[in-house]
Amino acid sequence: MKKVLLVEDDVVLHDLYKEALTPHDITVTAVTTGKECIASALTNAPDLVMLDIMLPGGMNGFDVARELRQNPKTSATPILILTNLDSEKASADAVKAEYMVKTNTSMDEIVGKVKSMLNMA
Amino acid sequence: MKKTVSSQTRFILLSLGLILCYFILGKTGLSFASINPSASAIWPPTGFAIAVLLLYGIRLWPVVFIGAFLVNITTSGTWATASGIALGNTLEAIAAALLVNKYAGGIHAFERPLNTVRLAFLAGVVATIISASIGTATLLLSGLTTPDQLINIWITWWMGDMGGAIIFTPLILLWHTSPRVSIKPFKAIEYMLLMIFLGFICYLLFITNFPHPYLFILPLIWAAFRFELRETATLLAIVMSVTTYATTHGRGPFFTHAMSVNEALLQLQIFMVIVGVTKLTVAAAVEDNKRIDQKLFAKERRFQALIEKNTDAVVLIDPGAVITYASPSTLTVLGYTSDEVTGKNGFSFIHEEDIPRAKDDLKKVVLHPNDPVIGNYRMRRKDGSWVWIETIGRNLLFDPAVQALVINFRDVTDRKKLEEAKDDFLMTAAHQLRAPLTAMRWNIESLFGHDIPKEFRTKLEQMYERNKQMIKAVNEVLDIAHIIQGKLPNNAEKTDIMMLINNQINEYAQFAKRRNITINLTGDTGSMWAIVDPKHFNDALGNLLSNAVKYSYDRSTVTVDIARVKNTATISISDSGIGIPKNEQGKMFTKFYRATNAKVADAQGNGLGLFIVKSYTEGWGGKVTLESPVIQDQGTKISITIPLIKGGT
Repeated sequence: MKKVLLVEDDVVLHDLYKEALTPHDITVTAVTTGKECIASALTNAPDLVMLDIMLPGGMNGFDVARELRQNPKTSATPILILTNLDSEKASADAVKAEYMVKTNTSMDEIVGKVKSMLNMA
Repeated sequence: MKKTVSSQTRFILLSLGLILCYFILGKTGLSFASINPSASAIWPPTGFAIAVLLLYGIRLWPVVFIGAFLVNITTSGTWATASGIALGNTLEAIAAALLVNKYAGGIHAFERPLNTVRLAFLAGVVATIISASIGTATLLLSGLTTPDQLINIWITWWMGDMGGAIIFTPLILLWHTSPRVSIKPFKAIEYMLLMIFLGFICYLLFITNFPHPYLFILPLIWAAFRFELRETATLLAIVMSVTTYATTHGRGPFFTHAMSVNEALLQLQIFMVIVGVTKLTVAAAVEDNKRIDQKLFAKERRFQALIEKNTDAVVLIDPGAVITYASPSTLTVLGYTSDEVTGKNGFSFIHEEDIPRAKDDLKKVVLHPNDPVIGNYRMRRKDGSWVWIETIGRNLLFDPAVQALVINFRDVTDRKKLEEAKDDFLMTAAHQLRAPLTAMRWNIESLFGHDIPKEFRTKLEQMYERNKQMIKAVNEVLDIAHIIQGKLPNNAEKTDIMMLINNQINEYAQFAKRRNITINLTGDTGSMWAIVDPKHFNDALGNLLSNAVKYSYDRSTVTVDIARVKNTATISISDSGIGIPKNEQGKMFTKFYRATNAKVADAQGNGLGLFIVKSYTEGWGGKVTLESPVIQDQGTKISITIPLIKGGT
């Protein structure tokens, strides 16, 4: 059972991600802000972090990613950035994160990507 | 009533004054007569009479008649001879005035060189025959001369009148039309020098008997080039008077071959006629040139004023971008005076990020003479602030009047800010739209995974199709905003574009099959590699394939042909569909433009597809060409040519 931490302010999407990933033996913990994400990551040690960029609460996705990379406990955790901004691939590369544009991606493709990042394929 | 009386009085006084002038001139002229008391070798009254009739109208002919009658009645002969001679003089003046008015521009004859020659010929040579003939006949009939003298008297009379007309008519007309004398110190000194020179020539000719009267041409040429026509005419009259006076007193070059004073005067007369006509013509031509120069100068001033008062600034630069001229508006646009920028390199004012673009644009200007090249750069004002400047460059190096690259430029900062605001709005709006579209998409996808009745599934499929269309539309708007802002995400990498072409063809083949359209792939279809962003390549090719299928007729074929030449590949997509009207082909790559027949065939579509194809292709260092026959319904062929790199992985 792999653990995925999801940060996404649109709660409708929480359910959709969960619905798609759970059948693949992946548990999804969903939070809506960057601070909650850091706290959860440090206590739960997820196998993968799925990160939106535009987040409420003052920290954007890249702020979160940088902090995760700086903390030894999470510095090696794979990060998948899922966003609707398509101009930030370079910033994603800088924090060694994978990058997908949500609207242009089907849920099946996301599931495939997550599984490959968790070496489950 | 009072006015009429006073103008009548003025008319009578004028007439009396003119008669008196005529009388004095006539008496002076006759004092040079030697062959016959009535036939003088110099006859200024002819010139005076012609000028009077030209200036005051032919109705003043009685002035000439009375003046001539009085001169002759007091010289010799009877009422009859005086009347006859006066009649000849009057008819001569009337004929001259009529001819000059009709054919030589009247009193404006001196404004054109050709009219000056006509005046000399008509008044001087033609009209004077009348007076000479009537006068000589009168003398013969009244027994004042004998038939053997006749021809000599006739020639003397004719030449005398001719000299009078050619020398004095212009003198009077010119002084009358511009009587004002404005004395400029340098001109006055020059005129004095000219007179001294003339005096020296007179000394040579008449005191030392130097035998070349054509020396007079020198001061007359001087006058023609340096002074006005009026002054030249005056000088001519002075030369005429001096030489006539000297010749009647038995001195000067005209005695070299002459037997008598009259013969010498005749020679003088011929000389003066030739010199007079030549000089007046030269002087009129010089005047004409001056007038043209003045007109040109005024024109140049006008254009200069247009440039200098224009709010747009203009600089001239050489091919190395060094500024050779800057119009005064540079101060308004950039805060620098013309002098502060002249000699500087134009690039030194441009933002360093924009310099590569500016250099490319300069290259375009240099390579394409006459084609205007438009550029947009940030430039630093003198106060250190940055402004957006739009430039229009044109290569006029080969225009002899300019010999520079001409750059018009203006401040477009406000416009640029508006454009940026608009583009930002587009981006924000597009992002706002993406979030709900994503949720819709994934919800529908999630429903597909459930066991649902068939009719619901069909409806869901329709919703999913529309959702994808909306996502595509939003993506295109975003791409445009990115392209315009120069912030297009570009993840170019070494890509096997043949693989992408195959994938795209497979994808669109499904769509084409519904209308029985086949997509064929021809040409060199082996792997080929280029540095492109795969997403951009797919978008571009997808746009072209989608257009080709959309605007084809059912049961037709779309052909994708690959041709390789050296290190480039040309991918041509041709269909046999509705085509593009010839007059719209140039606009097809403009954003939001849709051909009129395309709008009819398909109401949807945003007119962004080809703009995106062109922007991407140019980004890869390639180019797009459009071929569509003039006749509609003959299909369209669009080719993308892109540079390739060496293969392998």
